[in-house]
Amino acid sequence: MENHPFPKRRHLMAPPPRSASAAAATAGGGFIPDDIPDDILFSEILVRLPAKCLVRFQSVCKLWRATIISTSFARRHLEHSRPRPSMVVMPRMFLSNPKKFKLQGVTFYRFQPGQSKVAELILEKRFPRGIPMFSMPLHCDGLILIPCVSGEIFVCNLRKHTVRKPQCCTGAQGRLRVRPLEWQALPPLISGGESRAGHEILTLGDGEDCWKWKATIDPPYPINARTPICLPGFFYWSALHSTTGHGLSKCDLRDGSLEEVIDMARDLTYDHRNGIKFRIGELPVAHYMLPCVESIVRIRP
Amino acid sequence: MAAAAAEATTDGGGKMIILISADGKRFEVTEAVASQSQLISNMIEDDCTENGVRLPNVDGDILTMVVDYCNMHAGDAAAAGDTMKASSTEEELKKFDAELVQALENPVLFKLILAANFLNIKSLLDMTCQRVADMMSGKTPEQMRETFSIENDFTPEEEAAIRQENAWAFDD
Repeated sequence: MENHPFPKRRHLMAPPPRSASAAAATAGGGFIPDDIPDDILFSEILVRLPAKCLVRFQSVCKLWRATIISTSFARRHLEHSRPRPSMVVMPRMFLSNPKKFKLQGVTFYRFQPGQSKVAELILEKRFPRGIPMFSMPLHCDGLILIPCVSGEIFVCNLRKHTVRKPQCCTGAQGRLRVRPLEWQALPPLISGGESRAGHEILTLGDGEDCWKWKATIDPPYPINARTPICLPGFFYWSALHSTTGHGLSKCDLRDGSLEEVIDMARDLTYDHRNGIKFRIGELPVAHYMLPCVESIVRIRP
Repeated sequence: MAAAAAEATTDGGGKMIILISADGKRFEVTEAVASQSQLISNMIEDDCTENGVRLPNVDGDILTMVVDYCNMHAGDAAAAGDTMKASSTEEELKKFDAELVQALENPVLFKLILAANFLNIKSLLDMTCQRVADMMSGKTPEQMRETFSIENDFTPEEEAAIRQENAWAFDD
């Protein structure tokens, strides 16, 4: 309790002053506070709230704001979000001459695999001067990285609804090494192409099965040769062709079993919120799908 | 409660531990039940539960709930190794948990959180805190100030600026 990263002070509207923390409660006087101490409120309760809610609650009081925008709070919030990833889909038009033409902008849709087959529009970002053609976006800690064929990189902060070019990023064709504030390490991006390679899992640690490569069940269709996205217990592969079209598969790291999370051609509907809905197969576009977590992680401008 | 605990002695075996609430109510539970509290588990290890465990900041009503919860969930650990003894199914537990927190008024729920935090019962703390978080989600900053007795220490200009900056989070 003493080492707790969050402040304990509480703003009281009226006396008597309650030194609300558990320290007072354990003093032995049988004192039972009837309010939640700030340390529990911040480190156990607020961290479970959706990012949008936390952004709103910044205007509750100065202490709440300072806490919510602190790095330690963002990290703790992220730990709570990780087990509940949702899917973000980014459709992208084909450009006949990507060197000459640019895209008008980027759009992001979100859906919960297994619960919904409708991807709702969460962010539409238009660029007046256009954005170069991009390919294979990546996700890390609530931030989406959009590498463009020109070598430029855009970072989307879904929480803040921004898409921009951070100064700390440099890109080289096909390979990326990015290190913004919260981005610890990013696997290199494999350049495009079709692959029939199977999966192998390497477990780290000191158990009997550790440091051994274990082959999983082979995917029944070619997969996209791109870096898989790993989340606790699972990793996700984008299938180039499943039985009916493009899809996304989830591989269980415990037993190596493969499950098709979504068959994009058949399953998904985009909901544009203004009443316009369209099936995914109706559009002549590429659909990039990323498992994303909700986070309040920020990057410096 | 005492009767239920006494039954537990006969089939569960093991030592019994007495928990004493702030208002002097006594609860007799098995070691297995009590040690779901990390605090008590540590005390058992240190062998200092002989004369009962006094909990000066948990009152009787709250401790009743905590003991009920622990009794219900004591099967968890045992069931993992011994399927014959699985006392309650996962579904029953879920139902029990939902009913436990569903009906609680805020002050009682807050006290239960404090007790779970003090006794260090992680699953109970998770569940009760999640319940509060679920209630908070979708609320306005004004409602938060009211619920948690917080004074708004922003000037009207400061508050307007913060709202402006995060306007998108208010639009639903």
